[in-house]
Amino acid sequence: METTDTQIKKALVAFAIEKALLDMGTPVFEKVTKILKDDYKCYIPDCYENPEYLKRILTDLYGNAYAAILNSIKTSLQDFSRQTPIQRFVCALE
Amino acid sequence: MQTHLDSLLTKKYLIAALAASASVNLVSNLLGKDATILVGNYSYIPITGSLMVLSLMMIVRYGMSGQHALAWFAFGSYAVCSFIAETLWLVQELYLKVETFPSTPDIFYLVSYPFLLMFFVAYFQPVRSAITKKMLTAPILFSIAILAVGIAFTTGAGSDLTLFKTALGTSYQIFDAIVIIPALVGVSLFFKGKVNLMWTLFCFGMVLVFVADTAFLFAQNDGSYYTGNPMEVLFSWNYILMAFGVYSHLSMFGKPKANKFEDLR
Repeated sequence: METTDTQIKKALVAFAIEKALLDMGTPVFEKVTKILKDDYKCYIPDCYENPEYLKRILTDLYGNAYAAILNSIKTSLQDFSRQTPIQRFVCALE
Repeated sequence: MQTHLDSLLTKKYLIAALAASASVNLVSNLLGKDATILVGNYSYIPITGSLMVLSLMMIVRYGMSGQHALAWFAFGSYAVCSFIAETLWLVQELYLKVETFPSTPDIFYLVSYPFLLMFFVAYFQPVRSAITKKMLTAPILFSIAILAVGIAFTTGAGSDLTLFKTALGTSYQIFDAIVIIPALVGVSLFFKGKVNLMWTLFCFGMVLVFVADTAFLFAQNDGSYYTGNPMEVLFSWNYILMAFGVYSHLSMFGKPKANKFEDLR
């Protein structure tokens, strides 16, 4: 099966989100994935197309500290930040 | 997701626990000094024991990976130290009949503070970039202000205590004032977030401990201190507030239940 450019970016974004959440702790990652599944019927890689879901969940959980978690995701995606879809994803989170 | 009902129930039980603790303290005080000392000593065991069990459950839940795992390990150590200190105090006062201040429990009380500080630092580590100078300024000023008032209050009245006892009592006030800073930072950092309930409870707990330690030193100064006296309810309330804070966190980040039907697909 041919891997498309979108799938690669989706995997990159998923990796960055998972890394940021797992740096905090496995229960945090599990909590976010559970809310994504229960409230939006989607998974971490789907946040690439729907970053507002992730934003809502993290703001609900961590309030003002959300900005720092976003920074951590942005740092992981820094090397790809020139690419328009990644930029669009990051902008939607801000 | 933690529902509004969970949150309301947590608050309802919290208020009931605080009221029960105060009632037990007041009733024991009405029964006489001996009963108060007995009840005062024993009441700490279930309270600190609950905090310790909940903290150990958090350690098990978080395991060994991530910054919050380290944070909960430190908090668990704080809870264990507090439990040991309260138990030793009870043994020394009720069974060994030796002086309780200063004594071995003080070692555990003092050792618990670095663990609590370590908890705050490790919890903030992943979100440290959100901590601004402005966010730090108000808690530092508040901490310095209450420390100045607390020290003036305890030293201004004159003291019959030895220099060592005064220094030890004052060191509690200083440590309390230090841990109030990150507790207040936590409240503003996680403002509007669901984890803020825990931080608010911790913050109130820290302020209560500061007031209680100041009152403790004041009562030691004039020789009116005895275990279980009315101001000691503040120490109990601190442990209760912390236990409910940990419980709220535990119920929020508890292990998700696997959906059997989902797994069968």
